[in-house]
Amino acid sequence: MRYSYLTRTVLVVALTVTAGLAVSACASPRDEAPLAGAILWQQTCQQCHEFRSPADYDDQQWETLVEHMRTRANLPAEDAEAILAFLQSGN
Amino acid sequence: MRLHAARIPILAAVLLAAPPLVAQELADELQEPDMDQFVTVDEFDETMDEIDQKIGQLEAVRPGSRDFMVTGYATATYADLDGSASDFIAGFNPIFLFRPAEDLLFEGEFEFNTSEGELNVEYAQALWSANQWMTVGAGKFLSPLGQFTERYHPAWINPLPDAPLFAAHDGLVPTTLTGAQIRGGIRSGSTIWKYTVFVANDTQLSEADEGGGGTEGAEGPPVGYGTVSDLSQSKAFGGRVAVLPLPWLEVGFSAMSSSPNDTSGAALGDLTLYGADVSAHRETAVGFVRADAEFVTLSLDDTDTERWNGGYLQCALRPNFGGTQLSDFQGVVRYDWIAFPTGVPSDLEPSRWSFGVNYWIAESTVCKLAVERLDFEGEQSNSILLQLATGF
Repeated sequence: MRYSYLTRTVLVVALTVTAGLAVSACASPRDEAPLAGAILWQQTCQQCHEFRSPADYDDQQWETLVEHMRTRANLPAEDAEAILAFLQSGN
Repeated sequence: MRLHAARIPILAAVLLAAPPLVAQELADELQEPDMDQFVTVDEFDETMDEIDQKIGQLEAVRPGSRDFMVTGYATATYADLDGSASDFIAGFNPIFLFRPAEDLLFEGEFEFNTSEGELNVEYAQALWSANQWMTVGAGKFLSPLGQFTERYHPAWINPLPDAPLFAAHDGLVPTTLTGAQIRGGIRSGSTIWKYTVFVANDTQLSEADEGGGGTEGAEGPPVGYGTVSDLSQSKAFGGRVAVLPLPWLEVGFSAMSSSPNDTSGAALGDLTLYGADVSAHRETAVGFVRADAEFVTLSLDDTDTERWNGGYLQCALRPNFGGTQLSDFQGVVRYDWIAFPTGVPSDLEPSRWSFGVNYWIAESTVCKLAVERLDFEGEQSNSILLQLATGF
């Protein structure tokens, strides 16, 4: 049986979404409140690279860098804001 | 007195560089202090703090410094490949960021590389943050298909000195696309969803026998992905959706549809690309583990006889030795491959094992040593790569 390109795309996306929801549901329950910037910084930035010290840049530079990385890594806005607040408080 | 004198040249330089009206306004506020008025050390320090504060304010409005910065990465590589001359390669990739408004960002990366001998605009795009969950971009951007090309290819992030075969320049996945994209991330409780959709200039394919796939001489996929200017009326479109059910686990799916042309503009049929990627990066009892896998399949005219596929599996471990210097080492192993359409002898399909040991000199500077074993055309060849990479 052959499926059209569109059908296959929809099927795979649906499977991805379903799998994500299933794994998410199996994950241990967690606090729904926004995570602290420090934890998000550790969880998010370390996905790709080593940590940069908050002291490496000033407040304005961190704003620009976090905006750059928010786009690149598709970070949720609230996570990016929390990470930025942490970085600016630690430099 | 000495402290104050030291600040005068700084203040003068900043005032000269600031916009005239703003500079005048701030300068009026900051008259040359009369040293006789100081009674105590505290008063003197207070005045000095005020001067520092004004300098900071002036720095913030000085043209060219406001929301503009240069970052990027650089490499120095030595490659010793079986059957060919050894080679020293230098790379320098500055990234320019300019943020003229809170919701607007311009970004561009330029690639200087001695092996290619030319300056390449890796990407250059404008990004508008439309709202909390959507950013709109236009220009030349890194391909969002999969994870490696967009996120892991910078040398100080990639734990090995080179890219997987399928993701090398002229591999199965276009390195960049020129067009427009909409992207964002959404948090739903503990789950994060990510999406990117794009429309771009159509892919332009090179001849099938011109090589590619990152392996010289191989009958690689017919992809040149020359997308800077579009020779056809149609456009390529596609995107990626990903989910992080756990903070350390990302699963993504990518797709692209295109109607490529050859270099003369003649239509070559329909190109369809699918990709799947998984990455798990987590601190464990033995250290920080990075595990990545990506698979891409590409077909022309939606036929199985004209289908290429490729991918890689990689695991890196930076062991935890209680914060000792041994914790600065990282081990990595990777397997990557490209498979060709039906009818191509299997010994022409390249596959490769790579083993590396890295030493992290600083938080964004790494020295990498890798041994690679390529299986291609029925022969096995070994390579030794040594690379120093830094992100700045």
